[in-house]
Amino acid sequence: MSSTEQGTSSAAPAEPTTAPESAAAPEVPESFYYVHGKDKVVHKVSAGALQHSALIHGMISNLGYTEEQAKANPFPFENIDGDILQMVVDWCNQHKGKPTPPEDTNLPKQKEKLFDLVLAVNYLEIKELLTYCCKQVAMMVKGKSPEEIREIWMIPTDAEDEAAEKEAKKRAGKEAAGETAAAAGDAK
Amino acid sequence: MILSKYPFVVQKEILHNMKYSDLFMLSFVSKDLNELIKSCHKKTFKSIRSIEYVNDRAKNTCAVYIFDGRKPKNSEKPSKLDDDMIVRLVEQDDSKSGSFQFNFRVSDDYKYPVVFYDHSDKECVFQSIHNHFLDLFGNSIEYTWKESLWMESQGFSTPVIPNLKNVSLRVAMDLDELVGDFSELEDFFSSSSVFKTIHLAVRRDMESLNPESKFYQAESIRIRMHLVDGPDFLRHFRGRHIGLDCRRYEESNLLDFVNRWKSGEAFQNLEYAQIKIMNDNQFLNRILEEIGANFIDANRQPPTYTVLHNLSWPDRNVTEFELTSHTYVVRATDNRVASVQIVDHKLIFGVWNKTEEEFLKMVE
Repeated sequence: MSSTEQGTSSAAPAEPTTAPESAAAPEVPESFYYVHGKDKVVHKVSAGALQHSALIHGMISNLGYTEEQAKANPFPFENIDGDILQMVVDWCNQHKGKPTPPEDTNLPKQKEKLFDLVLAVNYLEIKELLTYCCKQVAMMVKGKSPEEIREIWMIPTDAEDEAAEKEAKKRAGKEAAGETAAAAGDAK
Repeated sequence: MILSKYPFVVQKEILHNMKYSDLFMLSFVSKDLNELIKSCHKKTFKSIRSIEYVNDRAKNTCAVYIFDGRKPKNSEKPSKLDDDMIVRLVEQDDSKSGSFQFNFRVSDDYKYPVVFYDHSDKECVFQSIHNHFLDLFGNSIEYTWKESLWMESQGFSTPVIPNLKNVSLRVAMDLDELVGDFSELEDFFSSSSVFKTIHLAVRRDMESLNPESKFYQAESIRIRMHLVDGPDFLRHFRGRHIGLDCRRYEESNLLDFVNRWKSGEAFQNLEYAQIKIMNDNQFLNRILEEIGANFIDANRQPPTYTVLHNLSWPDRNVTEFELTSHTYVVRATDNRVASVQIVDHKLIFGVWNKTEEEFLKMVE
């Protein structure tokens, strides 16, 4: 979506010094928005870069913010760590208006960072980046034994799953009993 | 990283980026994960064409391949690349016996998992792996066990094929001087389920197998008897495709074959037969008259009979064969037609799913 359609701009259009000789369309100034994560650090991102995120793209589509309004109203993503949001912003900037390559080798190698990035990217609905991240997560267990996979992805054993299920049932039973008792008390 | 903390769409995307061999390993991690794989890959697994156990007795190794229908199909010769291998099962002499459990390792170049097992656990290991496949990939896939010692005679012993549910069996064997007792062979066929394909290279004299033997029920049989005059394998055949390469074959047996088909007395399932006779084959020149073949006018174009057979296995999985012949015979019981041709010392016989009337309508 172009900045003209949104009626937003980062700065007033430059005054034409001379009348253009060619019939080329005047360059449309790029519009910017502001986002911040858990750490409240604000990132300025172009609308073009934000198009990668279906969530943000949907949010800004009909806003009609001016530059000042955009600056004053950064989008808060309190569920995303600052460094993770920075990674996402960097990726969106790097791939602004470009076709995405078949793979991305610049994703974090550390498990926990990658885990948080996947959650953030899924939340922000950045399809291509999610695909890269998921490929990377899948690669972590390539050629590993079941026990190694369990360790890497922290998968509970069947016994642990069963115990957790029993516990959940027990808790649900207790809660239901509590609600029944409360309802009976109310009725009295 | 806790996989279960991801939303389902993310888990699904991750699993869709994994190879079959990695999914196979993953499915052993927990029951819940196994169910997750099945639910995420419901559609993908439907595109699996076949799972093949390719057993190499000489190396005590069985490679299991998975062929995906989404990959470009090469029915002539499946690639059987390491990439298609889902697991390799290796019998180990020195593996410690005791309570059985899978001993997974990965190949040196990390391409596929390897399971090591002790000889005494063989049946149990194969059944467990196979039942796991049935659970994970479903039972609508074609599962095949292939055992081929066709080209490398290393001493005969009947194969020991684990008893696996829903598996078609394909074996190729050399029967040479090392075969001590043919009853062993009879026992092997009778104790196994019906074979999809049997290929035998007969290199020594042998007696006829029991006419009731399951051997004759095989869907497809290929016999090569270049050096000896063996028994008449054709007479009791009850399957669909048969190929005989014989040093000699009695004229009376060949007449008997066609006449019994024509009368409907035998070979009701037969679709395709090729009988090649190397020596004393002059009678083939007159056999068409003797079997009472019908002739289509030489100026007219007969229809082409097409069959997919696996008589060229193990070289090729499936071969498409076309037969265009001006001669045919008709079965009395249902008026069905079989095209017949004599070429290169060979009688070729292709049974149509058409009556004579329908067949003649196709003649141009």
